[in-house]
Amino acid sequence: MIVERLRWLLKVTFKSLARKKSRTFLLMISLTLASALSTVFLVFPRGARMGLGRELRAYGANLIVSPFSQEAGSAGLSLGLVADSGFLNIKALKKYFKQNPLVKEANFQLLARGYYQSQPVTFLGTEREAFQNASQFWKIEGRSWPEKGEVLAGSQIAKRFGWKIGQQVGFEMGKKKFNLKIVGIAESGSFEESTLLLDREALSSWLGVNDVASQVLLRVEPTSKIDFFEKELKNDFPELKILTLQQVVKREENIVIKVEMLLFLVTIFVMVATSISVANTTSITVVERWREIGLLKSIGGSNAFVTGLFLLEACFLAFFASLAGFFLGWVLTEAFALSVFSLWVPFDWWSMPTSFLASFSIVLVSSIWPLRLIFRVEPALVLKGQ
Amino acid sequence: MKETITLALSRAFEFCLLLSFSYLYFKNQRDRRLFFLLALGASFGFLLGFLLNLLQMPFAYQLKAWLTKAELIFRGGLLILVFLSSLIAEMLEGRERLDQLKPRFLIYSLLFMTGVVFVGFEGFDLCLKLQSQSFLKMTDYPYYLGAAVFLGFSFLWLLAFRLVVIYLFEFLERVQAPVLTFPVLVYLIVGLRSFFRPELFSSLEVIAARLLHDCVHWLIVFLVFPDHPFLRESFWKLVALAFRKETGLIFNLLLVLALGLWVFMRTYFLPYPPFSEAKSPAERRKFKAELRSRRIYSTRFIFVSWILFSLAAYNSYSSGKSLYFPEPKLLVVDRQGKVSFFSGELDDLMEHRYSFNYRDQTVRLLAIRKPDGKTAVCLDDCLICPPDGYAQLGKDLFCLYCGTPIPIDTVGSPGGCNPIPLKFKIKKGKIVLEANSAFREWVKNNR
Amino acid sequence: MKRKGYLEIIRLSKEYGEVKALREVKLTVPQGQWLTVMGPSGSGKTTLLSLIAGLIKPTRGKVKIGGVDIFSLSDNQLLQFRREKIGLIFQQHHLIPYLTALENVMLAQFIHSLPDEAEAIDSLIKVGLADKINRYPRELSGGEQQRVCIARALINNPGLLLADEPTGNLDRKNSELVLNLLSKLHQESNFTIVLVTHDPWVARWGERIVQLEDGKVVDDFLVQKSRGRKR
Ligand SMILES: Nc1ncnc2c1ncn2[C@@H]1O[C@H](COP(=O)(O)OP(=O)(O)OP(=O)(O)O)[C@@H](O)[C@H]1O
Ligand SMILES: [Mg+2]
Repeated sequence: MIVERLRWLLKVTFKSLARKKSRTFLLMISLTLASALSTVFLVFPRGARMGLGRELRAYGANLIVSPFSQEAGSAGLSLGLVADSGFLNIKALKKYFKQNPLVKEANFQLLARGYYQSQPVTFLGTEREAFQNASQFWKIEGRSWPEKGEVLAGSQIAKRFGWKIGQQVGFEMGKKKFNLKIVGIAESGSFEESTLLLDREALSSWLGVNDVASQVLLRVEPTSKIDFFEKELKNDFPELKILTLQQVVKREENIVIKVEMLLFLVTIFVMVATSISVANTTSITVVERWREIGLLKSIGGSNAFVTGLFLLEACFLAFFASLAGFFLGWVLTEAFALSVFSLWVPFDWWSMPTSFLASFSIVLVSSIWPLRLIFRVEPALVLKGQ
Repeated sequence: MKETITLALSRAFEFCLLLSFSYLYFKNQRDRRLFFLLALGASFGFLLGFLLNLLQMPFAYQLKAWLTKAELIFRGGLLILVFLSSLIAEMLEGRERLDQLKPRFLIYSLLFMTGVVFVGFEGFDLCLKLQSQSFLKMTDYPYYLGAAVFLGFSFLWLLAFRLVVIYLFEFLERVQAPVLTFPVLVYLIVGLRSFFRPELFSSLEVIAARLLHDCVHWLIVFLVFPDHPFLRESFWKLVALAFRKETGLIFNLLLVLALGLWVFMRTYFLPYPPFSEAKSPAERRKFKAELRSRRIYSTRFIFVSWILFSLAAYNSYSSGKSLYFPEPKLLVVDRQGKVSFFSGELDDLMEHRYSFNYRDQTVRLLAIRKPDGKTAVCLDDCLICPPDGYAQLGKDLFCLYCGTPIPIDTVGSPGGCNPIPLKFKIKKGKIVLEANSAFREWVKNNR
Repeated sequence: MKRKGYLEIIRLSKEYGEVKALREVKLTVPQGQWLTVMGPSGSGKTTLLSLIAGLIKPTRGKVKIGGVDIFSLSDNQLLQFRREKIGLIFQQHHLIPYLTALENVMLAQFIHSLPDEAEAIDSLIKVGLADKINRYPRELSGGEQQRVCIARALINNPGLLLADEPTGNLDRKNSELVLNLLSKLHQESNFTIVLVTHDPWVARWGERIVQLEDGKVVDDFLVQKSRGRKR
């Protein structure tokens, strides 16, 4: 059967590869790297894009107000600026929003960065009312509203650190250390899943501030009045920075695009380097196995057959390199997204073909040129002495 | 672009399936070559259609509309031809090859089919035109009239063709192996349609449902009856059984799988021809290898078709939607049991979706103002598919369940794959409908 | 029958630029004959063999094997022909180093049609390597390697076996083993052999000797009796 034939071919291929172990291993590593990087290149921007404007969308808000110095953005994409920025004074703003009939909802949030076992985590302080509005659509295990000394963990962060309900967890913030009890785990389908939720007041007291917020999420209706409202607010509070949902998405997208471009360049560079090394190795192999090629041809193997045999070897490598590259790529993506953007990119099998495409195309493209040498081997050489 | 790729792939899939059937039943070298020509034509057609679409030529839309129509007929005809002729060949002792059959029967049946299909369309068109006449509006008469016209046309058409066929038949018999010449031409035109159906797959069910849906569509809707008029609802219900979410997936996957498996079994597991033992082992090996390669040769299209199918599926899964599919706006039923919305909302000539809650059910509506200024209000559901809704792309609505394109001009006329039209009144700039009757229609279709 | 042989070489010439390696060679070898080609170094023996095997193209002339003019075939047809009709043995016993003896034989089967392990093992037993089937070439002696080559050359049941100095690298004892084996197989299966050597001792195994000199046939005679005496 065709299967037998294929199995036999694979066996021959494997034996030939096994003979040159170190070379095979090196090629394998560089191919794995290339396909891993191309997986990162594909997966990361997609994951990041999914998070664009998340916190606004999650609350049905369409405006975000922040102090001018702060880089407004989601907890996901704020590039680690969260804790170092200035604060809004709540009192004046609260009064102002209450009087304005266009503002249907105002959600004052305080963001702070702390550390758990010296890994960065994000605290999100909200108000009870806003929290309850938003959380009716969430799935919460355990108790929903954290009292003093308690915290509600997002499901992703809980999964990441393996927290359970009722557990006491120690955090650090600046020089302070404190213990919090996890009272619930929340699944919101949005960025809250990678934060720790608690009362804004409690968070302020740890930070040593009073009546401040990092940002305000506003729902302004009717939507046709947004521009008008924005102008008015800017007039009354010139020190505020105001962004609409579209603007937020745009800003965040710019960041993603820049990262994407960087990734693209690195990926291309690695792919080219790998191609060169594959091409190099292939041509050395062909020259080394000159006599073998002549022999195969003299006993009736066509050019296509011999080339196929060599390509099969390359594809054999590419296959395992792709598999390894895929998983390595995911590990890299997660590490990258988490450490730089505190973003959790959900695992996705659909990106698998990309890593395959990457290593197979490298192998095929870069060995075609050296493999043309096979066509030049004269089968008559087998009759000549060395 | 991604959609185009999906389409190209799925088209290639269909083609490979056809090709493998042809390998099974057309052992004649010449016929096979014709099929390869067919492939060439298909890709040519595809390219042409793609360019037309790309360049946005002013006449492109009209042309496309015509080609779509022609294509549906031709492609349906071709599929039916190949499948039916395989069936016939299978019935004749199972071993007989098509090229051993008298071509007369095939040609006749082919011509008959195209005739009926063509006339079916003409009848349907006429029916639509009649319906727009004021004196027949909103009554059932156009359908009966359409049916009558359809039958009349068919008769005339066949009469005319009988004359032609007698001459044609002699000509064809002289040419030999003519059976597939026609399909070759067919596929040349057929390729043009590919760009016309976006978002081929949106869920696993849909992947499977597509093929069956198209077969049913061609076989019943285009072959036996024109698309819309005069079929009882119970009949559509029967058809709909195969599309229900609960049964549909298994049913359809089985079908898609079975076609490939069938060809595979018939080709691959044919017994070895008798082999004399006297020859040397080397020769026996060679003989075996040749047989195997012949088997692989004739079944390879099945494998290619499956690869293509998976590629198409992958491509569409990883692609985003570019269809216009607005969220339904919630309406409230007033004390008189009416729901209403401002007619001015439809001024953008785009699709609008509404929903209202009535007796524990959420009923979805679809409203659109057509380019000719007429308003259509329908359920967001048809007689066949589950109510996944319709999305808009250009001048068509697409059923999100089966991907069938519905030209916006025909929205508001009942039957088949069209959204189920509802009666409504316009009062003080508001479109008003009876919640109860809409609810009853909805429930009738979605139990 | 004698006039229309299995292998017919008709006015065959081969020139490498200025060098005339073969000049209008004419030969007819009947089916089943063991022909030995002898001649001094540089006389064109290897060139003749390469031409018969279709490995190189002649400048002029024809080679017919079993009535088929091999140079009128297309490249692919020629390959196919070589796979099925010609077995080759070389001075350097070319075996694929990373495959075992068995796998080397099976490779020839594979290229021809399908690998068949039982058949390959049989052929190795026939050449007396029953206990060395799974050894790699580096673990075999020169003579044993050459016997694997013979098994490989004959596995596809060729009508014509071409051997270029098959004993060139072997000592007397091993040479004798290999040649005796060849003649045993030859008697069993009755294929045609063209064997090139410059060693008169080796030539004694053949039935007929052709003497090449400077690309021309200078002598052509049968050695039926001497061979018989030798045995
Ligand atoms: N590829 C080649 N290019 C140029 N000249 C060649 C080539 N091959 C062989 N020759 C020449 O053709 C002549 C015949 O060579 P050939 O190899 O046939 O000799 P031979 O009889 O086999 O010699 P030996 O006994 O040493 O093997 C020699 O003069 C050689 O130099
Ligand atoms: Mg020589």
